[in-house]
Amino acid sequence: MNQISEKVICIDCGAEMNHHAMKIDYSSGKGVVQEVHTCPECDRSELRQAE
Amino acid sequence: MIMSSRPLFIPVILGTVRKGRASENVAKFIFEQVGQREGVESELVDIGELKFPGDDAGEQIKHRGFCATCERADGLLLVVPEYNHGYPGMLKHVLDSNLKEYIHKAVGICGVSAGGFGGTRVIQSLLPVLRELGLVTIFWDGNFSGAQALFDEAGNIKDRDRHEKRIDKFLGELIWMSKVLRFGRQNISIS
Repeated sequence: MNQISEKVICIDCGAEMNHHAMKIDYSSGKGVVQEVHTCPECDRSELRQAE
Repeated sequence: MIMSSRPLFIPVILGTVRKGRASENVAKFIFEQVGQREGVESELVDIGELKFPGDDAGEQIKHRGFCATCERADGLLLVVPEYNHGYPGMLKHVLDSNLKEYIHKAVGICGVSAGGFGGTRVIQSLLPVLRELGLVTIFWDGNFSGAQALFDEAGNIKDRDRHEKRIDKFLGELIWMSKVLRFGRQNISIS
């Protein structure tokens, strides 16, 4: 079970975003696990580094 | 749970920058077919017009317009020629410039080839790349063999009925997957 420390709020519309994926991101040169969140209202997506 | 009422957005990406590319006619044909689907909006993206730099890679060369298109997209439709059994390097370069914009979104591929296998080899070689980018591939493909002879001088496809029938199944699957994944991204938590 993945633990989410706090809710992510959409900066565009204020809705609570849905955490739907965990993805390894290599863009920094090393693999970092990112949480992927999408807004159910406006479909904006955000990455947040997993704890 | 929320079922979004906005139209699906499925851009068609022309995945080559070569001069004389036969894939351009295929992309225009596919774009026309997507445009006929109710509740689906599209846009034809020519990667040759994006003018990506070649001296860096990944998210360092993010293109604002292409990024916004992928962010808005519910699915991607790639039109990809087969070059020596592989995909165009510039397409990979362009695709690698995004990540979060792709995750849990559907992708379908139309392979284009001069020979008789309809780009099946390029499709197979592209699948692991798309998977790593977080896209979800579908099990129908578009296959366009003998690409230079498929269209008349005005760019109209010659054997329209046959190709429309095949593309109808492909689009049906891509649209279904795009709808399902949009619902999932917005409503189904992984935790």
